Amino acid sequence: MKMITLPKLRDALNDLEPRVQVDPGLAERARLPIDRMVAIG
Amino acid sequence: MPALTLENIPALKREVRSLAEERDAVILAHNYQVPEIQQVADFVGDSLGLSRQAAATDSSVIAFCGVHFMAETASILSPDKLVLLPDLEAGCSLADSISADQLRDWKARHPGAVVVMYVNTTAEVKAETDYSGSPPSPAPTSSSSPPRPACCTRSSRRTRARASSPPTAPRSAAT
Repeated sequence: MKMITLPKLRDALNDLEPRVQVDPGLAERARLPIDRMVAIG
Repeated sequence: MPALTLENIPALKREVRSLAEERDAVILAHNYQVPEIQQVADFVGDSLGLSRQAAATDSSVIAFCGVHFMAETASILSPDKLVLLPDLEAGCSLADSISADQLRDWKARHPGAVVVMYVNTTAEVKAETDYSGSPPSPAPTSSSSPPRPACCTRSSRRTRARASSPPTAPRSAAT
């Protein structure tokens, strides 16, 4: 958790990198268990 | 890159906030992040709380100050947003403790099982999961349904402990 520093955050906002992207098909399947749990709790 | 010192923290904080506004970015910080990161964040919270913020934000960019699975979860919940993780190497040993292949193998051996996972999992593992959340949210039960095996992520300690034992199905809730 200490790997994120102010200079890295500054650079990420400046460069808009590095990005985390999940394949849309995978994201659709991965969203279901989250939505189910949020719905009940 | 100049070293991070007490002297340049205030200037860096101003620069971060200015860039966040310029980029239409919301900064989400896990409550385990260092204080100066939490101080520039728009929201500070646990992984599920931040996921909810990620899903609700109107900003076009999410700067996620946490670990990789959290940024993945933000992307899953806000697929139209650009999600930044300032260091892609920021990982989570718990999320690394089970792979999608391991889970698929377990599901193949336990057809009909309900899979409940702590939110600390990769997107690929979540895609094989029925319920994903944090410990305070109980898994749903129904008195009209027969009990079925459930699989939860195992802690590294438990995984190590089982490494020297005969293989068994991961049935008990952990962490």
